[in-house]
Amino acid sequence: MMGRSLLALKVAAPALLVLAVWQVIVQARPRSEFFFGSPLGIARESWVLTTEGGFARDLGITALEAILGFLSGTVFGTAVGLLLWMSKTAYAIAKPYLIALGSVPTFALGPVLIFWFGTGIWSKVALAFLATFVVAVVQAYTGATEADPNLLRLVRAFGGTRWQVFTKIIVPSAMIWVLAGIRLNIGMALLGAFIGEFLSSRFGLGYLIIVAQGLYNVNQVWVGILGIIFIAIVFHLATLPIERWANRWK
Amino acid sequence: MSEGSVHFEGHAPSKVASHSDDRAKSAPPQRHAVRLRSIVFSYRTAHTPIAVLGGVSTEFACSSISSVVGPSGCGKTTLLNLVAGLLEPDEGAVERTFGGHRCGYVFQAPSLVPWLRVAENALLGAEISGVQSEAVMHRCDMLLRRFGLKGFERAYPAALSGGMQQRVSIIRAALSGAKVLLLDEPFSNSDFLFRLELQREVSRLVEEENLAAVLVTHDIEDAVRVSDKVIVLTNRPAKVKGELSITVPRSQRLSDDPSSVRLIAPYLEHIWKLLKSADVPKNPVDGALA
Repeated sequence: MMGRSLLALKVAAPALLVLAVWQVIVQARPRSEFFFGSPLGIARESWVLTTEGGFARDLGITALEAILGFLSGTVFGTAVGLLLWMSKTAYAIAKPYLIALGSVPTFALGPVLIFWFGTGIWSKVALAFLATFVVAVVQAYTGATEADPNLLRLVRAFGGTRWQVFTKIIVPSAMIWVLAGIRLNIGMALLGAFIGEFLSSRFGLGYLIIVAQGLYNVNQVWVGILGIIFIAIVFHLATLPIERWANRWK
Repeated sequence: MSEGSVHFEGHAPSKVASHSDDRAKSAPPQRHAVRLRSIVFSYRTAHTPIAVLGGVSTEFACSSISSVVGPSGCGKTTLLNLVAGLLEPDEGAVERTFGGHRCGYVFQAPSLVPWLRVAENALLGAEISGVQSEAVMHRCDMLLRRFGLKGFERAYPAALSGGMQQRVSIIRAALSGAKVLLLDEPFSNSDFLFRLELQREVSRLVEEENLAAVLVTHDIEDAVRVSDKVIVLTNRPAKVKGELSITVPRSQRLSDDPSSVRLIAPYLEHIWKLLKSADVPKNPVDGALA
C-alpha cells in the first residue's frame, strides 16, 4: 500500500515539477502567459468551460464519435476480413483496394466525408469508422489465415464441415487478432473523430481547440488537449480488461 | 502390391509369404477398417508433378496398430492425409469398411486449440462429429485421470508441458468417435521412459475403443514395440516393400524390462534389411522393363 502511493508520487513528480516551473516563469513574466498559458490559467479555464461552456458536452461528443466509429469499423472490418478468407477471388479483387485505402492517410478523406455527411457527428463517425475499418480488415484476415494449419486438418479429419472449421478455428483466431489490436484501433478512432472536428464542426474537443485558437486563448487550447488525453486514458483503461480477456489463454 | 509379407512366430523369422490373400484366410478374423487399393498420388508443383505414392496397397485392421516406416520424404504423411480424406488419390481407392469418414489425427507437434481449455480440447472431436454425450464426458474425465491430467481440466494448453499436451491430443482423437486413429510421429518428442508409457496408453486405447490405428514413424524401434503390423515403404514414388506381422505380445514388447530389446531385435533386423535392400524400381519405366 505504502509502496504503491510512493510510486504514484514518483510518477507524478515530473509533471508537478514542470507545472510548478511553468507557473513560476509565467508569474515572473506575466506577458508570457499570452503565448504559453499557465497551469493556474488552465485550471481557471477548465472551471469556466465546465460550468458555463459545455465542456462536458464537447468531451462527450468526441468520445461518442470515436466509440461509434470504432464499434462499426471493428464489426464491419472483421466481417469483411473473414469474408476475404472465405473467398480467394474476393481477396484477389479486394487486395489492391485495401492496399490503396491503407496507404492513403485515411484522414485525407475528411473533406469528402464532410461533403457527404455534413458537419454534424456523422462525418466524424465516418472518419473514425474508416480509420478503424482498414486495420480491422487486415487484423481479421491475418488472424484467419494465420490459423494453425494442423488445427484445420484436424477439424476436417474429424469430419468437420467448412462451416465448423470456420466457426471453431477461423473466427476465434480472427477475433483474437482483432482484439489484440483493440488499443491501437481505439486510438485511431479517437484521432479520426478529432481530425474530423478540426476540419469542420460545431461541437467537440476539436471544435473547442479551433475556437480557442481563433480567440488566441492558449489556456483553452490546453484544456481541449487535456480533454483528449482524458478520453484516451479512459479508453485505454476500458480496453485493458478486453485485451486481458482476449489473451487469457496465453 | 506388396512385394512380400513376412510373419514371425515368436522371435524366429519364418518363411516369406508372398500373397496377402492367403494371410487373410489363415489369420484370426480381423476386420479391416481401411483398405488402400493401389493408391497413386502426385503433388502438383509449378513445373513438374512429384510422384509421391506409386501404387500403395495395404489394409489397416480394427483393434490393431499398423506402422508405416520408410525413407524420409517417401510420402508417409501423405499416406495419412489420404486415409484421413484430406487428399484425394489420383488413382486407386481408399475403402472404409466401417466407421464413416471420420479420423482422429495426432500430429508430431501437439496441436491443441490454444484458446480452449484442456477439457474443451479433449472433447473437440466429439463435439465436431456430434457424438458428445454424458457418456463421452464421463469417459473424458476418466481418460484425463488415467493420463495424469486430473486437475488440469480448466487449464489452457499453454500451461501444460509438451508431453501433457500430446496426451490431450490423443484423448481428443480417442473421444472423437472416429474408428481410425492416425498417428503422425506422436512419440518423437518424448524421452524413452515416458514414450513407453505413452505407447502403452495408446495401445490400451486402441484395444478399448476397437480402433484401427495407423502410426507413421521414422523410428523402427517405436514401430516394432507398438505395432501389430509394420509396413515398409520404398523410396518415392513409394510402394509397399514388405509387410511384417509382429506376434510377440505387445505387453512384453512395451515392458520397461531391458530384456524386451532381445524380443524385438529380430524384427528390427528384418526391417533394417528391408529398408537397406535395393528398392523396387525407382521409376515406373524400369518397372515396365522388368
